[in-house]
Amino acid sequence: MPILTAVIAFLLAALSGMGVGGGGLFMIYLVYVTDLPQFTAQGMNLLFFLCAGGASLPVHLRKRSLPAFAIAIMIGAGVVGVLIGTELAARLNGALLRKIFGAMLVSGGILSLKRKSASS
Amino acid sequence: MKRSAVTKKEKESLLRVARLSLTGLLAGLANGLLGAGGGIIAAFGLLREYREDLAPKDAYAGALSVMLPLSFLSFLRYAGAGALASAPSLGLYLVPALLGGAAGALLLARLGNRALRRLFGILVVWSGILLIIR
Repeated sequence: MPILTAVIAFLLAALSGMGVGGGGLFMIYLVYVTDLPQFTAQGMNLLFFLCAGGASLPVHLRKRSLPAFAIAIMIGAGVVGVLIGTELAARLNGALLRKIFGAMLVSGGILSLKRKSASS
Repeated sequence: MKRSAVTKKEKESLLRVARLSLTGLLAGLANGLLGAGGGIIAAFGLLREYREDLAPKDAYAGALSVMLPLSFLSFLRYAGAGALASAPSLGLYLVPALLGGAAGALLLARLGNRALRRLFGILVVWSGILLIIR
């Protein structure tokens, strides 16, 4: 089981490192397989993403052309969103959080499948 | 009396800042409320805003750049609220996470955008359905 856990963590981290997601899937694994409470799973998922995303960022900074202005604006506004969101997360029921998260995943996944490729 | 006029270009710039701000706010909200999901919002926002001028892979990397500092802030607040008090051994997850993250970034250059989007879309929809029906 520990080897399986490590392999799954590696694969999901690779998805996160690509920037297309994976963190949400890691939370599914934590909630379903390890049976962690939703709030704990969310906290662990954030730490997981910080490691996976942090390890991939130097590669992206070297290889990609990033829109710095847009990123700065989004981070600035995002801080406000984080403060509101974390406050709500501490107050809401775990089951409700899980369903909200599930609905968000379904919407995001469908949009991702429907969107036409600009280039491949 | 002289009328000062906002030029069309200035108006478009202001609208762009407003849209990016809204996208950032929603991405932060998802990240803080759910511990994930902000990256999808950020990536869509960047792709919609820059359309032809930004390659999808650059948008994904840009979303990552947005979500890292926001996730750090979220993590501090979750940890402060005791979210990790009952967390199991973290080393089992975090060491593979570091290795996998770096590997994923290196792999991104080799994969097609369409394949990436399809893979992600299928996995995410399936996961979301599982969560809703549980």
